[in-house]
Amino acid sequence: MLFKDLFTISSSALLRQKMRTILTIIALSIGIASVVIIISAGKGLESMVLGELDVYSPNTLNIEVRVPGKGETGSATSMATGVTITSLKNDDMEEIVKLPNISLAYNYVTSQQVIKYREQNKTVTVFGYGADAARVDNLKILEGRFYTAEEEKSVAQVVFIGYKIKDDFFGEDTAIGKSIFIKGKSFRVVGVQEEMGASFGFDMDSIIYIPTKTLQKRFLGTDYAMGINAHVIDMSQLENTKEDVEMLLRDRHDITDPDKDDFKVTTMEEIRSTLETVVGGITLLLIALVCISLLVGGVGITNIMYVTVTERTFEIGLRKSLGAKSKDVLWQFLVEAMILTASGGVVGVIFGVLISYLIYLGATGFGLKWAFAVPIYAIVLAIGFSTSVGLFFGIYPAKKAASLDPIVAIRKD
Amino acid sequence: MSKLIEVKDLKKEYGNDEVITKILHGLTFDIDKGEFVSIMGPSGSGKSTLMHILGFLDTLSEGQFLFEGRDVSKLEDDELADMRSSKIGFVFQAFNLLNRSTTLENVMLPLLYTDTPKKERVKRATDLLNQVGLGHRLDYTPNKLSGGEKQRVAIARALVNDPDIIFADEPTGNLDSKSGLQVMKILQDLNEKGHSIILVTHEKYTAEHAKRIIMLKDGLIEYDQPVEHRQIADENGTLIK
Repeated sequence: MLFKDLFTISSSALLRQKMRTILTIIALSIGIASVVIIISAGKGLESMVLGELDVYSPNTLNIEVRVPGKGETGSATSMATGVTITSLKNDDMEEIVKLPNISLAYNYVTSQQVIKYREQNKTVTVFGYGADAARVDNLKILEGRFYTAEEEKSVAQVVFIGYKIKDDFFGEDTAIGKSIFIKGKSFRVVGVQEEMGASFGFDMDSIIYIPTKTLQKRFLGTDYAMGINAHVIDMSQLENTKEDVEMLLRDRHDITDPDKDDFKVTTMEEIRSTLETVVGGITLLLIALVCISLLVGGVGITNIMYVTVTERTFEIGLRKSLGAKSKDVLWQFLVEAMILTASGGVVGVIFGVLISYLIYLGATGFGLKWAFAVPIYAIVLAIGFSTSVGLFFGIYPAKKAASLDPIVAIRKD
Repeated sequence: MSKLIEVKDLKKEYGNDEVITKILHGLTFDIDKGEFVSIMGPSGSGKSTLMHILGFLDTLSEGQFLFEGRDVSKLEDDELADMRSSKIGFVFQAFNLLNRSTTLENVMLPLLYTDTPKKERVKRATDLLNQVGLGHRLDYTPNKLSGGEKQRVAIARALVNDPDIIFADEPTGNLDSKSGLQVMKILQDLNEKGHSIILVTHEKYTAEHAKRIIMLKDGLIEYDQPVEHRQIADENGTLIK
């Protein structure tokens, strides 16, 4: 039997049962659309999360304190439990800068403080950042400048403020040269940062930067940092440089067993791949959930095909009595199931892409850095999966049809 | 004349382990090419079962059935399907047309399973519908046709594969007498042109349109003899003789 004829017979049978066909296609297309939406949304989420990283230069090497022996979660544990690691000294940073593949570095420490301008008070996060932060992190300056190494060395009371602080305190007026008060101490504004938006939920516009040493000496009375960011010159040597930093710090901190490190060196690339893994994992989990709806659609196909086969017992018997082989009948019903599911796939993909685009419009409308992407593999997966569902769930009803005895089927009494 | 069908001591029983129903108890007869034979008998005589076996729809339990010298009992399912599509044409009492397909599609149906090109299928089906006087009803669906017209479509369908033999199972059973006679006229004409025909019926009058009657009773042949006073139908549905 020619495939063209099979296709004609099967599709005209489906057209005769328009409502049933449409409902079955809808049921299946919901599952298919969900798969496309989830994959696309996963891509959008990934682009959004990874977009947050764009504020950091890929050449940045991050060194952060951690509780020794706590594995990967060490630095998070130190923050959560309030254990303070005091071993990362300012001198460590100065030694790291001397490494051959590192051009710049700064150490940092943060603190919550109330700042004041005229009658206004505001609780903000104070970033104690070294003077080289402007270059390492490639900070965007709206007006004025970032503070200098000389100012940091002299523990100057200078401040570089976030966009919202400037807006709230000074409005349209210039902020440069004005003084704000931190815990009663007067700080001169030297520059304003461009509007940054949020990074990982943290409002990057409601912060102020003061030199690390100034924060340590004027407010905290310490000489250690929470972390160091260093700029790597030759990225091809990134891994070696990372090891150099680790060796240097172990040597300086008298550590022989790497498991007892009181610091952790991370490259931006590692952070990026960790985030990709997390987002990928979430996407995969959601796809697995959505596959249940595909399964439901598949069972629906089996059900409808069984009904169809039962209704058309006479037709099947007649076809067989006129010379159709079992496999002709089998294929007729399989092709019918596959046309149903493939149509469901196509409709599902179309709706999936449309809804993904609406999500993209909504997300960007809310100011999220969401990207619209429907990977080819999502479409191939959706259509391929739905057609296999047709084959898999259509095979039993089709076999039932093929095995019908023509005499029984055409007997009218 | 060469033998078309040779049946020797054919037996058929149905059933499972508990109950076995014997339908045919050992039939022996031959049918030559070009014959017009009626298989007659009351209901329960086994005539339908015999027709199913002769029409490759069912298999025998014991005995021998040769078709053109080939032992049919040794054929696989797919080979039987091939025989059905190439050797025989069926005309049923209830017409057995697909009600949602057109007349033309119904007649072309058996050709679907023979790899005949579409163009050829349309041509043959159209020619045959013209021959049975329904050339103007090609795109009608069967529910718009009268009973007689339906049976003529069924006859066109039975002929479309150019079969060696036509089986007609109570072809006039659902028709008024005039339409019935028109159908018998077509069958007689086909026989005149050389087609072999087996007519299954319980009516003596209908059976007498054939040239020979095999009378079944309780699964056995009661008699097998030529028709002495043959009925001849004309195309208007009136009896000539």
